[in-house]
Amino acid sequence: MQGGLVVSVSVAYLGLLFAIAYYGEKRAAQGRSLTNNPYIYTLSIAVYCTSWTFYGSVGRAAETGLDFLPIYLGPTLVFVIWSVVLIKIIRICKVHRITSIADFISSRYGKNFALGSLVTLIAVIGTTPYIALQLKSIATSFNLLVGFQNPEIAIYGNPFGIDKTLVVAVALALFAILFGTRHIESSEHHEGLVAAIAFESIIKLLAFLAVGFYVTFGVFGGFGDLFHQAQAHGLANLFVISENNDYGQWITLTLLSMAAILFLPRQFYMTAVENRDETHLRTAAWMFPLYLLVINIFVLPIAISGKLAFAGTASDADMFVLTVPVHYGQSELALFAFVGGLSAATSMVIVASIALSTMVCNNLVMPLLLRWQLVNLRERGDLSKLLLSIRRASILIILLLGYGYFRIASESYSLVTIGLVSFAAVAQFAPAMIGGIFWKGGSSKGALTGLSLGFVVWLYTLLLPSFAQSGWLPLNFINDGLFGIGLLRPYALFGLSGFDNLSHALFWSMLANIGGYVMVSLWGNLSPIERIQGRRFVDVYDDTLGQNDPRSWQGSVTTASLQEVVGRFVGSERAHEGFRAYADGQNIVLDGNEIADSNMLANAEYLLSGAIGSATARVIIGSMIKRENVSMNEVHQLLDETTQVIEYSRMLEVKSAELEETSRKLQQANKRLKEFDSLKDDFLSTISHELRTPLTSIRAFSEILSEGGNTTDREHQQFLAIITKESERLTRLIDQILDLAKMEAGRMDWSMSDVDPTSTIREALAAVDGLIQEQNIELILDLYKALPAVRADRDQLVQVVINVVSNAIKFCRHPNGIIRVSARAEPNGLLVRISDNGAGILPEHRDFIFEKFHQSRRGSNQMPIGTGLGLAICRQIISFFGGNIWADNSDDGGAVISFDIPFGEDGKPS
Amino acid sequence: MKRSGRKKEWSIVLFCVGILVLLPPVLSLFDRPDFSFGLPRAYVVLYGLWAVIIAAIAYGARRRPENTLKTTRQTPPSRPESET
Amino acid sequence: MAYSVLVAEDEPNIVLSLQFIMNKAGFDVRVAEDGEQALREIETQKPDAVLLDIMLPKKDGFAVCETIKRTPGWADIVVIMLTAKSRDTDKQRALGLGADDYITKPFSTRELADRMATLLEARSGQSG
Repeated sequence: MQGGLVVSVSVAYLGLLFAIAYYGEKRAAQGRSLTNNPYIYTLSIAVYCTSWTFYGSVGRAAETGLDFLPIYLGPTLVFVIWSVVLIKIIRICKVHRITSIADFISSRYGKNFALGSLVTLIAVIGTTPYIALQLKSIATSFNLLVGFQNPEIAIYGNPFGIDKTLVVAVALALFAILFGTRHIESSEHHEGLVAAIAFESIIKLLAFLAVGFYVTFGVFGGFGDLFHQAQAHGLANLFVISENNDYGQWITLTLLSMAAILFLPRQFYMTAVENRDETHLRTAAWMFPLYLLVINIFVLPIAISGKLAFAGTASDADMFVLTVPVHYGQSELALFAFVGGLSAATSMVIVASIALSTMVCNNLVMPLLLRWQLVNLRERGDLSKLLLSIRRASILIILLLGYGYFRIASESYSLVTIGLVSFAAVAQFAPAMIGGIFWKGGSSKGALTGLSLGFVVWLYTLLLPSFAQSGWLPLNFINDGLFGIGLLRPYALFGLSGFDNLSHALFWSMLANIGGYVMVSLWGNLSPIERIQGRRFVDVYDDTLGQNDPRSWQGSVTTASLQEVVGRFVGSERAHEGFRAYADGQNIVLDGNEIADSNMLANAEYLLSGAIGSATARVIIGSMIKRENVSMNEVHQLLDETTQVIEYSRMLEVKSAELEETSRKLQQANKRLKEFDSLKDDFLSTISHELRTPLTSIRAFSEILSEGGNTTDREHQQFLAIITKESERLTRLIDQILDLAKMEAGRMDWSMSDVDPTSTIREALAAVDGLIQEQNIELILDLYKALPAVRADRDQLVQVVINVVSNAIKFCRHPNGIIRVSARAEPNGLLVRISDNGAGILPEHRDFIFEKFHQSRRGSNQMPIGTGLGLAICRQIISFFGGNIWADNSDDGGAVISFDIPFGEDGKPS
Repeated sequence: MKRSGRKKEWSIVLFCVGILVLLPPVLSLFDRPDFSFGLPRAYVVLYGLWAVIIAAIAYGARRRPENTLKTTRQTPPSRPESET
Repeated sequence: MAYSVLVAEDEPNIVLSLQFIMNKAGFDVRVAEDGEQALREIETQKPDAVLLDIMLPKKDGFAVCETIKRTPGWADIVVIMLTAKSRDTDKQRALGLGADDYITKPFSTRELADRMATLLEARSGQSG
């Protein structure tokens, strides 16, 4: 095939990419986003499928069968738990405006600069071979396609005077610079970039499927035919994962690819940072694994067809996707396949370089510049241009690094092996990341220790041996170990053998990494900011934590100068907008001369984070206010008070109000109980007194009588009469106490009915008639004959009248006593008034006389002795009937006891 | 916004099942150079299981009106989409 | 010469019984129905002993007892408190005010007479 054609197609394809990206940006600028939908999002995640997938999987399948699959099953498993892991990472990125995985880890562990730069270093070192791998695939496929029919062109010939791979690398750098560094805020979305990457994902899928379809249905008669022919030619060993049931590497690859889909810088960038809407993940969760499944269906058929087509020749199985169509004379298909491979490779290179450049700029270069004071914040000047320049330079340098690695080292390895070395490096992020989002106890020292140890072990057991195999290091380093110490052999560290190199490296590096991370985290104390960040990451769904850092910045910088500094990084318009939005949100009016409070500073830090990463933002704010004016203790207190108490304060406030109310009620109840207690005490004491008084007479006279002989007959009779009288009094007293107790406890048996008042009053008066006659008291009755019935217990009503009349008999004038009993209908019910012509009741006694055991001592000695309970019982009874009883004096000074009782159901006031 | 746990349970159960069937020892049960349905057994079973898992993810990720992931800012008070 | 006893008690039947018992025991008995009357009776003619009810109208037994024991020349009057209240605090208070004895109602007539006699004899033994 003509080299010129291939070059033209390549250039045309890249041109198309530029056009698509440009169109995407334009649409975004018009507000008609191309990429804000779950399908584009899914396709952009498919940047996971690089030339490794496109070429390398077939190569591996041609050698060892199905064991290329874990690289795709691992991501599928991760997307199974998308709702546990992925969505949380995305949410954290959005809340904290994370710009890269380095930013994520650095931010999680207290916005730690050292950690961010270490992650950046590992990512760069780990990704460089991967970029080299893509460049290698482009170079190899190009040479293959051109050289197939032009044997005069050496495989690494140089028909245009310069290395085409370098041209490609620079072109990709240009693309990345143009479409990956448009905004200064790396947490913003790059629509053109995403559109182009999605387009590339479609192309590589279509190209691979085209080759697969052709091979399966054009060359062979379908899957069945293909597999049976393979079996017939002794290729059945490709139908299995492992012929001898050794699945060590299968497990290792599954784990590695699970880490890779989450933590490869370009995956993290596409999945989390460029995510437009969390709901897109809901679709991507199944569509992305489906993409992987579809693109992998024809891997084994193409591998088998290649094996069959090139049986017996030394053909590079990694290139079967190209060489098989060529072999069968399908040049156009081969060219399409080449474009597919190109798309797979370029998409990876572009996104990886952008993701890495952000990390290099935000987590490595800027913090260093600030630290070394090469950038003076106090000088005027737009720093956003500086940021962009750093980022663009980083992209170029990263691509040149990849190119350099490709030129020097990639000869001795297959695509898959290089890719796996990268995967193993990226897997070192897993403990700090997974621990970081699920475990609040992880510390920056722990993460630093774990990452460093894991990285060093990775370097020693994977990267350095690969260098040795490339001839940069003496080979006996692999065979004899460092310094000839057998225990330090990199492929059998500490004598561990029996694993493949990759599993061996993963085992030791993870042991060191996880061990270091957990042990050091448990060993030391968390600094306040680590604790705060830990909480904000692990509890990212918890709304009560709020958006802003509860950490208190205190400083002496004015709002205006704060805004100006932020403006120098993000552009003054954006800064103005950000500050105004903040002010609106807080309902405050911005005053440039005011000293920025801690919330304002936190807002500035938040705005800066989106552009330059959290660690750098923190350094900048920190340097502006010169000191973070908070002591450890204060922060601890703040932490406890702010994050925990605020979280519950609303609930607590409610609860404490309830508690206060309850305790107030309790105090009241307690007070009343105490009153009741002392009342009960008094009551018992009084009852005891009242019972003992008649008992005293009874006992004394009984003893006197039982002595015998000393008494006259008259005395004898008198004493016996007293005993009888006092016994009656005692009985009455006990009955009344029991009645009263029953009534008060609500256990009285009432038989309520409609009662005719007139006859009831007459019956009561008949009972006391003897006493009235005896005292020569004049009784005046004033009863209406046709009084309506009242609702009452008849016996109890009789009791009330008896008690009140007895009281009147006791207190009326002696002699010439007059008692007047009247009853009449009132609107509220029956009103009964019983008055005497005695001395009346002192106003201060009017309420007391209805209390238990209130006894006026003004009674006549000839009267039957009251129990002090009669009126108390009356009050209980009348209250039960629903009426009132009260006392006052009549116009002529005598006492009047009145009570009213509601009428019965049929009763009507007349 | 608190996230409901139902989807998580489904995810975690599915994840455990996936791990179980895609790793040894279950893996070794069908990893033989025999044919099923006219195709290599391991090929059929692996891709088949893979497809089933993807279907299960899709089932678990289907939108339920009361369980939407959208943040309040993004949710207009419109009729819930019925994709169940 | 017979000892004179003042009975200060407001319950007529109890007064009657005490009068009878004290007469039989050979004492001269006078009666007061309330606290103020009791003090007037003592002023009029100092008795040898007072049977003092605590729950007296107008001035209660405690106050009367205190007045007796504080008034010069009256301190040697034997005061026996009578009460229907059996609480220990009342007894302590009565004895603390200088009462010579404390008897709870209902009482044994013989015991009352015996105690009165004992106390009066003990007093006369002291004074010569």
